[in-house]
Amino acid sequence: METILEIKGLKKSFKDFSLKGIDITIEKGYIMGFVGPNGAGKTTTIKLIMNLMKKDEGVIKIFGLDNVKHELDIKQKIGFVYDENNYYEELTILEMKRVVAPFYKTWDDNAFNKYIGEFRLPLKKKIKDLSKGMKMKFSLTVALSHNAQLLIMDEPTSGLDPLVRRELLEILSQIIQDENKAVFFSTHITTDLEKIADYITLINDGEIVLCSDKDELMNNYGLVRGGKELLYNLNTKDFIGIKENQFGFEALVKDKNQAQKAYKDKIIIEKPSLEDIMLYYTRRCQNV
Amino acid sequence: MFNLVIKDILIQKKQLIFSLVYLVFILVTFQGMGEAMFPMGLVAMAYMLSMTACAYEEKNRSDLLLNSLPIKRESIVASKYLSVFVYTLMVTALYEAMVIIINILNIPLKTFPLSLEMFIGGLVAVCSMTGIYFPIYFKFGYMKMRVANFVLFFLFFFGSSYMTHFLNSNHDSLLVNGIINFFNTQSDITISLVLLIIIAVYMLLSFLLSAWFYNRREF
Repeated sequence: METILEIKGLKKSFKDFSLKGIDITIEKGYIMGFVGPNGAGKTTTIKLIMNLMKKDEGVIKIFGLDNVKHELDIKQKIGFVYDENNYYEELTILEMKRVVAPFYKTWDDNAFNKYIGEFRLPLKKKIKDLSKGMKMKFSLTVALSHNAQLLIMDEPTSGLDPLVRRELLEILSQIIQDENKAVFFSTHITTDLEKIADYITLINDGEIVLCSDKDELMNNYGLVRGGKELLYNLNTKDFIGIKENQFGFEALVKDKNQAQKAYKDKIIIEKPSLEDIMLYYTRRCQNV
Repeated sequence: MFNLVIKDILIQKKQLIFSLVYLVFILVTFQGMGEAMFPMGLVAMAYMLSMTACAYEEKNRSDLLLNSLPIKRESIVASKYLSVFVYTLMVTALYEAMVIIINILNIPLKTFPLSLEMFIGGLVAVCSMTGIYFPIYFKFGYMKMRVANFVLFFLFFFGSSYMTHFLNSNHDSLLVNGIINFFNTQSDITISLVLLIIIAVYMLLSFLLSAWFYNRREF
């Protein structure tokens, strides 16, 4: 397998926040979901990858090349979609395309026109008059029109209605059929990733707390419920997080089979959602 | 890089129409100024257009976009400098066109057809302003640049009256005398050439400073 993005020991400090040496790897042909609460460091990581910020320490390699030394070559093969529209609102779609296209050596007008048609984007309309969904679709169109091998998306679905979100996810799963591509998808809307991600990386407070194959994660982890009487006899080591309520407790375990063996029929085990996993991990300190 | 200049012009379609009206206004109201009308109008317009372009960058948070595209940061900076010269040429052409139109239509206005002196004077004025405020813009962004600009404007006005005063009262000093002598004895072409070289060096230094600042920016 060929590695498309490799991050090792990435550090960046601000006054009130720091990225504490994170590692991320994405292989060709896969979608990596990058989840975490707001302020966890998702956007900072993406800005460091795109060289919009300077790292303090660590290595970022894209297509095997250093992201600063080979910045321009790398960016030729990266498509990006950010959470907010950054295209010039005063320009029309067509004008904006004419400004952006010449920068890409492998710009593909056929692909551009194909997506413009598919998304029904009005070429002559100013970008400021587009809806939020359409702006995102335009960003996506540009990202897909120059044969990018890595798509970097920073919260592309935030603020979009379910219909547009579903459309975006369908397109992403189509794109990934081309096994030369990889997608790095950051979001706090975890349901998006349940549908399409192959791997999940969870970041909290500048640290990677979890990195795993999504199916393994969903199959092995368990959401455990039990009565109050059991609460005081639990081996807390087995649990990622425990939430107490009126009637008993709810907790997340890494290995549901092991939990089943240990506590037998004193507990009920359910399949957790990705959101449950994120919540239990990010609230860890408060609960255990 | 040229498409970034075109982008700056495209986002300012409205301002360009406005600047046409503004130029007519200058031609009519600056009648008493004589040839100084051109550099004054040119500075006002080139300044307005390049500031507006910077304001749009800030409004659209386009640093994120531009720096995510495969463009060198130096090219982004260079395009802004290049655009100033494009505005200068555009305004000059418009001015000359209007002078011709006024003469053909026999409109009772005094006109001052463009001379080399006027053009160089305008260029010097435009460059001395942009050469200072671009590095501030690329270091701090548009909002902070506006504050700095306010200060610059005052310095510019008080500075120029101080300079006049200084030159008048130091008539005998060797340096001042030398400069005045140079301007009096050399041909227009030589003076223009010297001024052009000074501007070119000044703008190059300003560009290098801007690029150095911009390369260190984080977004």
